[in-house]
Amino acid sequence: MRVARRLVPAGLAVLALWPAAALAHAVLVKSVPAQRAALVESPPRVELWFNERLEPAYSKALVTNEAGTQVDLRDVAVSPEDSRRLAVSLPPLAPGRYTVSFRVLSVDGHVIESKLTFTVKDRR
Amino acid sequence: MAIRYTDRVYALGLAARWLHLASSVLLVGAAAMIVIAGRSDRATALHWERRVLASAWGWALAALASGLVVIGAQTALFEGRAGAAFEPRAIERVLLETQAGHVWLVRAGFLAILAAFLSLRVSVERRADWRAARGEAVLLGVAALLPLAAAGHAAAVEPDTARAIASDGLHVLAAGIWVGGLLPLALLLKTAATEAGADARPYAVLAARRFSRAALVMIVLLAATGTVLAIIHVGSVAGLVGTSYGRLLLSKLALLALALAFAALNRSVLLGRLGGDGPTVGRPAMRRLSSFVVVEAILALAILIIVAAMNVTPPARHEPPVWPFTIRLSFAALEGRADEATRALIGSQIAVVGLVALITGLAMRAWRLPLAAVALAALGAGVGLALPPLTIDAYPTTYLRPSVPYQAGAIAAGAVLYQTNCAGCHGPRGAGDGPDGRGLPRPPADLRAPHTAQHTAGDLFWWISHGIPESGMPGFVSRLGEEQCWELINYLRALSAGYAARGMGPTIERDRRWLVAPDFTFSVGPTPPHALKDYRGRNVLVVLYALPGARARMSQLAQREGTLAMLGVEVIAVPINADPDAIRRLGPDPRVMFPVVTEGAETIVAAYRLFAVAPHVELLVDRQGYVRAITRGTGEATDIDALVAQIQQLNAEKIAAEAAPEEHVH
Ligand code: HEC
Repeated sequence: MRVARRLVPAGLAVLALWPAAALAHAVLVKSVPAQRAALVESPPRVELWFNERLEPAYSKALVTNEAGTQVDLRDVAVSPEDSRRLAVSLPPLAPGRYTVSFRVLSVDGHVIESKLTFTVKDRR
Repeated sequence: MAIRYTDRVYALGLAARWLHLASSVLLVGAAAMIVIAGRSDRATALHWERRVLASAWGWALAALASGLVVIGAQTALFEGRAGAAFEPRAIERVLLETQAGHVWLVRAGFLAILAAFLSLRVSVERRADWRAARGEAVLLGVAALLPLAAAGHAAAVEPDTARAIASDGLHVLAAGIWVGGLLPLALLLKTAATEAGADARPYAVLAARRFSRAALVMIVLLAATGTVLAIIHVGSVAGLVGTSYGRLLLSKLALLALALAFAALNRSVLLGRLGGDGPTVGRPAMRRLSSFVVVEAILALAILIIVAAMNVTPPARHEPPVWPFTIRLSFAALEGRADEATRALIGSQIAVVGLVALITGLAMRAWRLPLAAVALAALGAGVGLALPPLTIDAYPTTYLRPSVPYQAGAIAAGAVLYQTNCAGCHGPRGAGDGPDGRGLPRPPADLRAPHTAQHTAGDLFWWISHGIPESGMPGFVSRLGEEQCWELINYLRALSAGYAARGMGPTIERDRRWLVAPDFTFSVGPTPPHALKDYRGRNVLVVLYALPGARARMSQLAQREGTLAMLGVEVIAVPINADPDAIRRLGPDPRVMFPVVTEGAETIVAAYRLFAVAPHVELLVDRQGYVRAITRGTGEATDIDALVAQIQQLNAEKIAAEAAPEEHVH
């Protein structure tokens, strides 16, 4: 009981940094494919550029299809040359709508979480 | 109730950060204060020194303990689960794999060494030993404090990361020496003011004078580095008054002003009264100074609460500002209104005279009051005269930055939205001549007109999302999302820019850059996508063509590609009918070496058609991303030397500092 009583305030203190996550503003500078792009060719990868350097250990992105299944090659990584760039490779994608969800941590300790979509069109 | 609960939880986390910051700062200040006061062999002074050292030891332990809570909280945040705060593995990962973790380890290391060092009993009989021991305590404290800068907002600033971190480091250091020295000083003064502490009185006076001098230097340093940091993290008036970070900064400055007022009082009035060496002289002043210094310290510690809150708040520069006033000042309001401009000019001159008189008045002894009164009156009258013509309506979103950049894709999307939502009133071409616009309280605005120059993108955002009730313009906030509003705004910008570009012909006007070329991305066959922006530093000829009409011109361009490349020109050919087979259709001879857009052509055409409509259009974009010349034709071969002459003239221009803005800015 004693331990619990001490842990509770500590836990509350920990929770306290929650609002920082909610407050942080998405600052995705650019993406390839761009938000809501309609592509004829399946893109080889998704690349995201942010305005701040990222922490590789806590920066992730995944690509899902309309059914919500993860379709990327699960090799998401922050670029070693430019730590503001996050990339994940893709297999050839079937026509359809895809969602890129990302959660990244910038070096100043802010978490950015957001999504974007793109479409692969039917070939004419 | 739920909100209350969150507030309380937030306050607890803030408390941990604050305790950590405050103890780290007090630690440095305590160690530094001993060095500033210097060595003494009076019994009371020695006793004071021991107490201050003991307090420094206590601060070091407090900093270590609160540091544990802070890193636990950070782990929970990074992992995205509260439970992670109690998992050693998760904490280990944060410590070893993030910059914040590395900084924490370094700082904790220094704190631990310092705590151990302070608990040692080192002999300080010899002056050199004393200096070494006390100096080392200061250095370790500083070493534990400075890296904080590398884990805060400054670490993410780009470019000039080093400058930001250095400013932040100096800022906390100066704060440490000033704020941290206050409590030990108050203690010394209080002790020396007692009967028993009389032996330390001269020492206390000396210490107070020295500290006062050091604190003055620190405050100047704080102001200088603080200004640099405010420019880096806030950067605008809108950011200052319109974001949580900015408002925290404002409250910090208000508290600081109060603390500085106390400091000034202490320095100018009480410090002077401490002098004299008799047992009774200066004692009441000493006691009063002691309690005033405590007030100063409390204010400074309150400032640190705000600093802790700022640490977990995203900097204003990254936040959308909410403008709290219904008006703003703008010189654009004077355009074309000569009498108003004159009024503003006269008013500002009167105000300047008033200001100069005020400064002179304050500097003079005689006539001070009457002069100041006249000066104030002039200042007030001048401002009252100058400001009204300069004020224009403002909205909460006035300084909002577009979240969608000025790109062909957004413009094309905006054009589609415009036709379905706005054309009814504003007309299919934006001329304000739509059928639904008749009978409204005011005629729909002609959206091609350059009047938008007076308005920020955020103003347009407000009108489109909330409407203009008094004139019958409906709001679209419920029908369109934020992003779609920005797409519309990008379209409106291109529309009015295109209207103004009617007069732009095939010859460039020297050094006149105003028509921003909207960026676009395109693919050529299976190669990775390129953006127009990637060509900054080279000239680009964007060719909107259609076969068979333009076959002659395209062959000519293909033949002369080498000449153009030598002049630093890239050609990007965009088929107007968006043909995925465009490359093949151009044929093998002459061989086409420049990119022919096979993907993304529709959007490029949709956007650039706003600038020129003709069967064949060539837009010459300069090295900074501005359209400088537009050729409208039918696609027959023309004299390529005329083009070469234009390009040579472009190349002869000096590149101005500013590249074309990517966003919709006015
Ligand atoms: C029901 C008719 C109507 C519709 C639909 C409409 N507007 Fe308007 N709009 C107006 C009227 C009327 C004004 C008033 C101009 C004034 O107050 O001088 C106006 C003004 C504006 C202005 C301000 C121009 C200025 O500088 O004063 C903008 C921008 C604007 N509209 C954009 C749009 C956009 C974008 C859409 C479509 C999403 C749209 N409007 C749809 C009627 C309409």
